[in-house]
Amino acid sequence: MLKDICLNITPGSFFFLKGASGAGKSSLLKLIYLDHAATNGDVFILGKNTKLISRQERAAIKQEIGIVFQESLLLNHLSVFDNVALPLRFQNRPDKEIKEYVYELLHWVGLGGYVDSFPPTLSGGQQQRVAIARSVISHPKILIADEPTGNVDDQIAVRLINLFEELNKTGTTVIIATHNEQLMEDFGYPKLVLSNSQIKLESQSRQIISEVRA
Amino acid sequence: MMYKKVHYDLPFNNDSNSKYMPIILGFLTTLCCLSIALVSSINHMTKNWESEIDQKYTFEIQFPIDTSKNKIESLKEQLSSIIQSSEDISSYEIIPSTELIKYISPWLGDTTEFSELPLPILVNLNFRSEKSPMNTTLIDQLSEHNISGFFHDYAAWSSSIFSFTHQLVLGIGIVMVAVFVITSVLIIYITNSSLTTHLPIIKFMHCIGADDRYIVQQFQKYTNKLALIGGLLGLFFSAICLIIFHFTTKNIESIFFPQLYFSLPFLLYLLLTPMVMILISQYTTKVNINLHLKKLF
Repeated sequence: MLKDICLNITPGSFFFLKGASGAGKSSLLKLIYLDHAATNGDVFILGKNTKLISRQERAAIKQEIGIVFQESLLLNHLSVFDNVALPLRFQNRPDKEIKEYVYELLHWVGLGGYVDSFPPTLSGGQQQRVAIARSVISHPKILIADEPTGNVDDQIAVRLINLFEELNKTGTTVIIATHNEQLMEDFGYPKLVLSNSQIKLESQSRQIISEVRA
Repeated sequence: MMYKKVHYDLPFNNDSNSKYMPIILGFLTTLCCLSIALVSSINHMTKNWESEIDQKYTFEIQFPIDTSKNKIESLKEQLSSIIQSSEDISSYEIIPSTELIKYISPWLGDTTEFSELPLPILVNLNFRSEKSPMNTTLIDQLSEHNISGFFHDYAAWSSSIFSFTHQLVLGIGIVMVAVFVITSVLIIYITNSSLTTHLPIIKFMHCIGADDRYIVQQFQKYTNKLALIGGLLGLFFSAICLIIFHFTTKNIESIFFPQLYFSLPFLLYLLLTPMVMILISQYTTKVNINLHLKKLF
């Protein structure tokens, strides 16, 4: 449970979210990607109060948020192509455009040769890269990753963070929840720490995170 | 035109509940098509009756027991000349005795001596106007010549027959409405069970940005396919049924037994039945899934 949290995130920032299990990392992320609603207080995402938006607006905001989970959560009955194409299909984009973007993205994550494969035939790392491709294909304004490196080895974990950095350079705000201290140290981005239902900024950088108040 | 396979993001092909749905929908479509065929044929039959008996009357002179055959013939001639001179009659036919015998022979049997029977004189009359025969000059002319008889009016008979056929058509209409309602109920059942089966995937899709419209479209694509297959199957089976019916009843001579007939609008209704099934499935799916999604999320 989260209490008395005031957090204002500047667009285009990149930071890690850390905290012990049960500290509320996932709850905070769910509030941001609108999977949960706050019982008290207001949550503004992309300038809109999530309590006052319609179902249609909620879906539109969700389309601006890319999510990567610890488990890759791919749909096993769909090919790699169709899994990655999902967010563009939600936006009713033309087939030609979808094909072009999906091929481009799959090459970007190094899976150009797996277009017609199905998720169960891929390794954990490959599945996670497919999930990343899916989460960024619509060029989201916010990318949320909840323990994205939890099920992959260190080498792949570094590669995944590199992909997030590339995306961040194009203006996407990236929030990564992780337990991996080494990874956080290696990349050196600011850390938001959740502890006892409170939040604090460990690496002070007002340019990136304009305000954190517990 | 290239065939493009329908793409589903939800694994509908694994739904066991919808396995027999095209067959059930096919049966319902067949019922609907046969109802349309029946309505079309009954309509045609009643229109035929209407045109045949409109302004038609039969004038009957009862057989006078002490009248000789020659006198009957002269009476017929006299009657014929009176009718011909009447301005109210457009056409007439004195029914020959041989024809009358044909009508009564099935009841009296072949051994009856028909020539000895006191057969009435029957004349079919077609009146020009919609006047009742009693208001025409024909009555006066017949009285002048001391010819008495009475008119058989078909109006009462036709009115009860038409009332019966209208009730029949209404009954068929109720069957068709029932077919549409059952189709809707089946679609609701299918979409509900499919929604329960695929709920985790739908939740996930919602989470990554799918709006209600997209989820509804996915279900609509699937139920439309089921309805289309069912509709075409039904059309095919009803065509077979109608062909069999046509050839079986071809040789039955009965004015009460409707022969198959399709006017252009009815033929169009018949061909549009699969489309109606698709529209019902599309609308039912949309309303049902939207309601459930609003309750779920």
